[in-house]
Amino acid sequence: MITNKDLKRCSQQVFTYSAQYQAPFYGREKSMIEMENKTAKLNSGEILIISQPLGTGKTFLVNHMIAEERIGVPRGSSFLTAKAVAGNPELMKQYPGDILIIDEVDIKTKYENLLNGMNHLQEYLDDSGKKAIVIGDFSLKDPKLSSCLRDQQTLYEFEQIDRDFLRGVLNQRFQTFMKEYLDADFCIENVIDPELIDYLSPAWMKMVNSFRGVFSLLQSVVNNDKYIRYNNDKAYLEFSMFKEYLAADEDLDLDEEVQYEFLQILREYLRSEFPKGAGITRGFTVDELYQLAQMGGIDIEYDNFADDILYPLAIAELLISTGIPTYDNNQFIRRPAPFVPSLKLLLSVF
Amino acid sequence: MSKENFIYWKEIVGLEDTDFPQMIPLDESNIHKASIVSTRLLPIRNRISTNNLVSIQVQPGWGATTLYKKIVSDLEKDHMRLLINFDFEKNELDGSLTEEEFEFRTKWKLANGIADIMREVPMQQTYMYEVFDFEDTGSTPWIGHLRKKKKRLTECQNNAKDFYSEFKFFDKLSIVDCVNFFLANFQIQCVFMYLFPRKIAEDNLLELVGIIKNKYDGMNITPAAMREVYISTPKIFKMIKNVYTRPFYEIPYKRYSAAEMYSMLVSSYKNDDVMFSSVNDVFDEEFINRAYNERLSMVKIMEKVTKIIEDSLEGDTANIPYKLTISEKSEV
Repeated sequence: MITNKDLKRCSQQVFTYSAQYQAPFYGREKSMIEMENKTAKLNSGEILIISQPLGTGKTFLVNHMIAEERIGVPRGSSFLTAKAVAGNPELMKQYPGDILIIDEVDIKTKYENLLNGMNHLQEYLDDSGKKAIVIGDFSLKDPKLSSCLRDQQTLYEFEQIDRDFLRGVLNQRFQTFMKEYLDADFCIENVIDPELIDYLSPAWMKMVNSFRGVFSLLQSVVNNDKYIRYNNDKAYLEFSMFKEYLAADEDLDLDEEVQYEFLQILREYLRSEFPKGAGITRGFTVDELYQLAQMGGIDIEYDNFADDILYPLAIAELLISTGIPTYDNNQFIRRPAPFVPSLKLLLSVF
Repeated sequence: MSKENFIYWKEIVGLEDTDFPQMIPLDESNIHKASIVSTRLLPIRNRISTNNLVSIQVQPGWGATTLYKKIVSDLEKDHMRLLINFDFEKNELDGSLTEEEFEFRTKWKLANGIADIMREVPMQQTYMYEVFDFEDTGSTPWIGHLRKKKKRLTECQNNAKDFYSEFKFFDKLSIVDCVNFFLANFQIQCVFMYLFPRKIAEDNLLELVGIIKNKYDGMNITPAAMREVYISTPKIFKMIKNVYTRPFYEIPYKRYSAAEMYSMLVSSYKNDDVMFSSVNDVFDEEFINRAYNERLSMVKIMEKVTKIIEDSLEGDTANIPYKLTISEKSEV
């Protein structure tokens, strides 16, 4: 039996969200096969693009492929970043082997550095005949950025987080890091409420759900003495704990009254049309959300709606962007529509 | 008329050279005057001791900088901890910070901090000598060598090339290796504390987040070796969390009460040179009670207090009291 004490002691390993504890790799068989094949077939100057949301395991996948020697990159190679390449293209010359790996091509980097980084990369590949794997978020789907890279292959297979995938990963983590505490007939539902697993892996969030987000949340709740006390009680993570934990962040820190008003309208809408998120199949567009705002009596110009209402709600983790970041009007639009409601928002309307 | 009367009153009580009732900004030399109750500070210290990642979220205009300085001052007295602090309010994040510069600044602070600790606390000699390349030839004692190194540190504070040339240990080891080394051999934990300004361009903030991620994410940091403490507004923290989610222990730092603000005022104006022993002798707390509004910043509240004071001082100078107390007619 796993006790609360055991779980608290092991939470950093079991719910690790980074490479720190060498968590075992799980699943993504199709991704690995496609990556291996495409990398093997890369010609001089060609690039394999891995474009997926932040925290979904892209770097983990590539590191695993290197460790398993399934792609021709020397073990122990560290990755270049878009920003580093933008600032100092000479770094690429020092990279071992034939295949460069450029990571962090995402919204954490200034657009100018993304652009310069990709341009420098293409120049270097042209000169050297080398190949590259470029890892980033949906910024790589922005035509202005992707057009910097000429001969591209895209990794299409990248298993998204669904209930079975999450369940499998959690099970494996417990088996790896807490083996001595497990009963012979252990299954993940012994320690995690099935409703919670469902909640953490909703179908409508598949496209943007991240392991980093899920494991950070699990670790945060387990580390909080209010929910899991340091004692010998049987450890059991319940959906209600997470609901309470997320609801505890009452101060949403929205600046304007109109943002709160829209949030209220959105909550009512979700409660009536998509109870518990059922029925959400895609993100909401700006037009749809603007129409909702208008019907709710919010008086705001369409041109200001995204910047003044939607973007702050995205920053406050109430809406999640599923769009392609782009550069427009001298601004890097990092969180464009369409939007899906976050787990936090949806919980508040349960 | 009331503005002039206020100036006159300040002269009577010896506050003419001050911005009273605005709080006196505290710096490293007088941070001990910061009147922050231990019921606020103790939970923060506990969390830093227990959690690898701590986020202290202070509403804009509610004393983040003073809190930061106070925590820095407290942690600096703790010889079991090495504080590496970055005040991004003072040293603005303007987009010019590169990963190399960040690494240099961090390593310089590690070197400087560990040198200070070594002067005060006896530790395992072999490892101390390794950090500062000491060779015991009999000509210079260890403490003399350390003093020289400290002097050199000051000289190369802004020169990465000189620093790495002089301090080979820090050239050879990564930041992560350094913190692990300090824990393993000196039982010293490194606390990395960052104060974020309340207003900052998203580009510059996220670039810093990217640098931090590249330096530490997935690295083999011994859990007890390192703590990260972020002090920011809730909004800034959400922007950080949005692009780099980690299990921070989040501490929403409640706004100070009117009583606490009055206590701060009394504490910050405590001075042997003034004509009164305490602000309480010349100024009633009811002014702050009247002006207090959570939706305003502390500065704005004190501006409101100024207005209330001035309104209460309408009339003949001869009627101005030594101790200001609120009268029924003092409304804003």
